[in-house]
Amino acid sequence: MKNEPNASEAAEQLRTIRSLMERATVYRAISAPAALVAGVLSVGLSWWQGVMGWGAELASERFTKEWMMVLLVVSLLNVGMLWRSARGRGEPFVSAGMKLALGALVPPLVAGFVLGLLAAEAAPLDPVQVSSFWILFYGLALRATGSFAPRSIQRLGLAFFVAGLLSFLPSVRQLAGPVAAPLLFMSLTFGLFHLVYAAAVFLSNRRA
Amino acid sequence: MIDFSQLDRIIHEKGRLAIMTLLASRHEWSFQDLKGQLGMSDGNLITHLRALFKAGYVSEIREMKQRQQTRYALTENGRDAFNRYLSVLEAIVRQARE
Repeated sequence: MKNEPNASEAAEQLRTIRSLMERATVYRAISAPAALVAGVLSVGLSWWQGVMGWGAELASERFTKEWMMVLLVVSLLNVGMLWRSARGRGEPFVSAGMKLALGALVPPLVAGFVLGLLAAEAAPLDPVQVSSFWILFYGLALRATGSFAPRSIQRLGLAFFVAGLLSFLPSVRQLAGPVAAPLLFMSLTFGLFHLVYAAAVFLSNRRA
Repeated sequence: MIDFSQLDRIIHEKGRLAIMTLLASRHEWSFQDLKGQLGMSDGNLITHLRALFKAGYVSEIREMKQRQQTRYALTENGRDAFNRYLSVLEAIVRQARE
C-alpha cells in the first residue's frame, strides 16, 4: 500500500489529533449574561456607595460586605447559566471542563479573597487596598484558565491583571482621589470590563 | 504485523482528519465554527465535508435562523471509522516501540 505511515508519522498524527481535541474542548467559565449583570451591579453599587453616603467613616467593612453581596448574586447567576448551557449541550454540569476551570480559578480567587479581608482589617478606613487585591487576583484567576478558556476570557483576565497592578501605584491612587479610588477602580474593572466582555460575547455569538 | 488496508484513506488526509477530530470532540459544529477552528477556506472545507458526507461519516443539519446555518455531526459509521483509524495509528506506534 502506498503512503503507509511510519511510526513517527503515526505518532505525529496522534499528537495532532490530541491537540485538536484539547483545543476543541474550550470551557467558558463566565457566562455572558452573568457578566452583564455583574457589570451593571458593579457600576450601580459604585455609584450608590459614592453618591448615597460614601464617606471615610463608612470604610472597609461596609465596602467589603456590599461587594460580597454582589459577588454572591453574580456567582449564583453564573452557576445557573452554566448549568443551563451544559444542559443545552447535553453535557453534565460538572464536566471535565468545569473541573479544569475550578482547579485553575480557585487558588488565585481564595488568595485574593483572603488578602482582601486582611487588607480591610489592616486599614479599616481605607478600602482601596481591598479593591486592588480583588482586581489583581481576579485577573490572575482568569489568566490561569488560559489554556482552555476562549480568547475573550483571556483578554478579560489580562485587562484585570494590568488594572490590578496599576491600582497599586500611589500615583494612580492619588489621581483618582483617596475616597473615590476604590469605587472608581471597582466600577471600571468589575463594572466596565464585564460589560465590554458581555457585549463582545453577545456580538460574536450573533455573528456565528 | 499491521494490516495497512485497515487505515481509512478517506480519514487519512490531513484536512479531513482534522474535521473528524473536531466532530469527535463535540456533538455538533457549525460550518463557521469549523472554519474558524481549522483556518480553512470555504471551498476547501466544503470539499472535505462533502467527501466525508459521501462516505457516510458526517451528517448535515440545515436550519434557517436569521440566515441559513449548517451544522455537522459524526454519524455512527463516522465515529466507528475514526476509532478504527486511531487504533491503527496506535498499533503502528506500539509496534515500533516493541
